[in-house]
Amino acid sequence: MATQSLQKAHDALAAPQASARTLADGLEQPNLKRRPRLSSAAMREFAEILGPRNITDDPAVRAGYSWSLAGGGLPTSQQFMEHWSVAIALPGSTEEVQAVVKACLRHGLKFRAQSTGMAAFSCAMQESVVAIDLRRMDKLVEIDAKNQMAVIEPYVTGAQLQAEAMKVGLTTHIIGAGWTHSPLASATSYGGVGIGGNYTGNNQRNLMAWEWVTPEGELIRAGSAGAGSGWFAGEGPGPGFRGMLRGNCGAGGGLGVFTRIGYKLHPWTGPAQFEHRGVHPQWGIPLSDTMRFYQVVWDDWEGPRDAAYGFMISNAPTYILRMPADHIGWTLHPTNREFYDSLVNGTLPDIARTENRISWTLLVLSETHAEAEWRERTIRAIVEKTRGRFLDVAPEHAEVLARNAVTSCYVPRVFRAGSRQVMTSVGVFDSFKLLPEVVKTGERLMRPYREQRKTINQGVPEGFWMWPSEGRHYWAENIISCDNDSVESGGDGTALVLQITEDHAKHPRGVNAFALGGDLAEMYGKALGLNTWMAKVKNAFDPEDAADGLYPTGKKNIMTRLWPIARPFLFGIPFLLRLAMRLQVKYGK
Amino acid sequence: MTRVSMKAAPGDLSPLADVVGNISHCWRCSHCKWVPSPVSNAFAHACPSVQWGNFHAYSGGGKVITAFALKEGEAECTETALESIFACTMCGACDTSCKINNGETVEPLNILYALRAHVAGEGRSLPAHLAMIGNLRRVGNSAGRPREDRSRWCEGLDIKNALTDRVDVLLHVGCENAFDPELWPELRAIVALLVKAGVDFGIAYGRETATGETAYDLGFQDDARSLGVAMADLIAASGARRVVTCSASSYAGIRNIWPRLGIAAPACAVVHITDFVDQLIDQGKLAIDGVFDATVTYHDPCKLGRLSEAYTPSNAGWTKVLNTISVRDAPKQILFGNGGLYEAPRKLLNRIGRLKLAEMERSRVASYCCGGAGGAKEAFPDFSRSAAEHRLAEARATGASVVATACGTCRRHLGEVADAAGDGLKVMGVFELLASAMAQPKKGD
Ligand SMILES: Cc1cc2nc3c(=O)[nH]c(=O)nc-3n(C[C@H](O)[C@H](O)[C@H](O)COP(=O)(O)OP(=O)(O)OC[C@H]3O[C@@H](n4cnc5c(N)ncnc54)[C@H](O)[C@@H]3O)c2cc1C
Ligand code: SF4
Ligand code: SF4
Repeated sequence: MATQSLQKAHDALAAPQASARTLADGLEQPNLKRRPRLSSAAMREFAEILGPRNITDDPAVRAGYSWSLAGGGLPTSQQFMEHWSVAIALPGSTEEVQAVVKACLRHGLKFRAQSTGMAAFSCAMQESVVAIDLRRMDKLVEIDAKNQMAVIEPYVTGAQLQAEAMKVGLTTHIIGAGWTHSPLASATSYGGVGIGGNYTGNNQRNLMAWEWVTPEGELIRAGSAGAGSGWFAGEGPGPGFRGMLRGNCGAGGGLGVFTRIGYKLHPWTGPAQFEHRGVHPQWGIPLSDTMRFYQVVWDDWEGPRDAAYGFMISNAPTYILRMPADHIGWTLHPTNREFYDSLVNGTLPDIARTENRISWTLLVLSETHAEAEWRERTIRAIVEKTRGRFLDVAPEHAEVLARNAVTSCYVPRVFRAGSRQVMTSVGVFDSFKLLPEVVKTGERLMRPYREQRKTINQGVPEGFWMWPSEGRHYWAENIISCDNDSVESGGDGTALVLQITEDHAKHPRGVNAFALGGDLAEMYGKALGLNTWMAKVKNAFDPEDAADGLYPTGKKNIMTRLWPIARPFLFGIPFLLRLAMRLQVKYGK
Repeated sequence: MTRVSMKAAPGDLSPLADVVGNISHCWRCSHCKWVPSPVSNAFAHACPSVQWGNFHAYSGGGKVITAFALKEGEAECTETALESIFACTMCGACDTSCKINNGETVEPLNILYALRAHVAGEGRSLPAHLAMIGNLRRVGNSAGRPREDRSRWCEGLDIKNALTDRVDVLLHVGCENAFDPELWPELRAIVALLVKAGVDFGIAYGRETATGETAYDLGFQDDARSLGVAMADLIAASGARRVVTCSASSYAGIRNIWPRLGIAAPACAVVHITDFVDQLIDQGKLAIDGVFDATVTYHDPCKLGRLSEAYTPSNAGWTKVLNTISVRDAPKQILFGNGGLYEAPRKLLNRIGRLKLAEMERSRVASYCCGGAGGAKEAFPDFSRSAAEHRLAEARATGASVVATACGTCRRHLGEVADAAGDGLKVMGVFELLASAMAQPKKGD
């Protein structure tokens, strides 16, 4: 079967076009790649399904779907992924998605869906992958205000949904990646945590019913939509196997294409439309008697831990967020240069100073003055009890940070610290009791890179973003920013991510939320049997392994085969780990 | 601080060499596809190009990646590549939106200018654009109209010649206005106001020439420089104390593009006509006595708005601070669009009795382009029309029956597309509208 597929794939790909810049002696210039193109038969079929303007295998267009994020981020051709999608398809409906998937199967091609396609999370990870760009499926089908939910297609962004939801007294969860992300992609396929998570939950659980083209091209409606009774529940009536499909990390495209979902919205007592304060790009939203902002700081990490329990049990603050102080600094400055100048001139506002980094930022929404007063009293009591203190924050700064808390608008500024080589640690999803230890671990592991090797960003010592998820779990991830002009720095950043993962494996601190896809699932999921379960689900729905993505198939590759042997050496001799990662960054393997 | 080389290899003099550092910071976040703060699902888009072409390559960030792919020989200037590059109005919305989070690190519009210069340098410009450049070289306007036709609009108006009669104000007309009879009422309304206010003004008749920003948009930077220098010399020769331009495009050209070309700013002040007339009213030299009983929405022209921000370029390089953060190593102005001209046209409209000004969702720095500029209309008319259709849909959603604008290109293009729709939505120049209002004086209003 595998050989047949290979043959089919071979037939579907035309011979690579000789490059115009091929050297006379037959050698290619080192930065030139021969990129396979679609065969004319496959191209004709896609064009019939989609119309000729909605399919291309032109490298000039494919380049935009192969732009690498972390690793290899030098200003050379390594800014591109190792594998380029062989073609880009732009279906406009579920029927067209289904037809594209079936055409891929007929031609032995693989495929990977993308919704808003932020960064490199949807890039092809192997040869012969057709990128299914769902941009034309952008309908906000319905907002059901009474039932606090929406029905959406893949290319509705967080900001668009939020703008419409606010008009009817609701808001939406927006992941930390920022408001250009797709709630459908996040809910069905990848990640799902966001800085508003205390209030707006987690996208794994904001997902209700779904419509789905399986890797075998079957069209399935599941949850309540499967019984034709609307989009209100993931569990049924109708087939309900949301957890299996979604898991914690998501299949990242590896289980087919999701085309429509029911999605939870959350009550919103703020304005129906944001009124802007300040000057672009430092727009804030006006605070009011019923929308109040507080910045609380403590002297040690036990304080925010204890306060978090108080906040969650009382339900007094709406948005609860800890941003590293330097990231608050970026948020308050339009450019890197201005931030840096404030830092060296000593003019950073208190809220952005390292000494005030042990903090929670609180945004509190209320219906009435009386409610706002009760919430404030409660928060003050908790802060007093945990020996915290309130920082004075300039109104224009509070307004910018409030806008950020609700929209995640400025979170992507983390990319300014190293641009295309920003990684996050694997994340901690567990009890708040772990908070001080998590911070200590972050500091310990980052220190050599920040201070001695000077290869990662020199921000606050641990770089953690934290918030409670759904008023319960503790979420923490530390941002590791590398120099996008240095292989050494990129390699060190990757090494550090692995060290943190390894440390988690040895001293479990909750679920490794982001990293458990692809090879990492094999490498680190074994202890909990996660890789086996993920492979079972993958193989059941995708026996041909046609859907490129993150769920492992259980088949070993060089990396996963060598891992048990290499692991003790890599972590026993940090130099080796760094060297290996540098090579990985340099050569993209 | 350690100095780093986020530049292309030494000796690489290609137009893209200087922007490699910026390109390396694009992380495909797609902010450039959306306005900085969407108000609705329907009008959240910022980029008419990707809204039409759909593939990522059509977006600002997509073009950034294309630039790199072409530079590195990873892709070639195919028909599709050229369409994705040039079905774009150079409206700069991507740039404004990118900077919400990416600050100085990417600046996609600068990369787009360099990309177009790269394509022109490779000899791959589109035939429609080569024709425009040929016209600019031959007769100083991209439409190829004879120089003597420049003043047909003012036949019978007895306007002074600013080059032979010493005048206080050189009234710069602009190619898009001078040759288009549909825009002549706007120009004549302006003249009537200036006369009424007693302004001592003249025009350069057939010696006026394109200011160069169109050539710059098309990637022909040397042509842009020649045109700009010629116009700068003409301004100097006039000895006028002020240049008042009726052209949003030239306003942007003089303030924002000339400095990029090393052309010194004119010794005299350069003012846009909306600002000038508004000041005349503030100074009591002119009164607006009229009514216009309708809801009007104002379309911010990209050239008058975010693209007219006065610019002081610098050749600052990059350096790293705090181990990894890229910052400029010398002062460098970052354009956020806030220095564009937004208030004067609105103030003028608000001075008209009974006129209700209804804002579109996408306005000022976040205005959505009409689709008429950047050589897009000449090369890809379907794309250009689609942009106008989106903009007019947004105008309709305000409940307005009139779209007012302060740019001849927007007025012509939106007007054409609105007329084709035939639903009664009217597009007018700000001064056309003022003239129409002044023809109906207020009666105890
Ligand atoms: C600065 C930054 C911060 C981030 N912070 C967070 C965070 O706080 N929380 C978080 O959860 N994530 C975070 N991420 C990761 C984030 O989830 C990804 O960036 C993700 O790609 C979001 O982009 P998207 O919505 O455009 O989805 P896409 O990029 O379109 O897709 C994401 C994944 O889902 C798959 N997919 C998309 N649509 C479909 C579909 N319709 N059917 C099947 N598969 C599909 C894709 O193949 C891909 O693997 C962050 C990323 C960055 C760069
Ligand atoms: S150009 Fe700017 S906004 Fe667009 S994808 Fe690149 S970094 Fe993001
Ligand atoms: S300049 Fe305008 S049309 Fe061109 S890519 Fe940027 S936003 Fe799109």
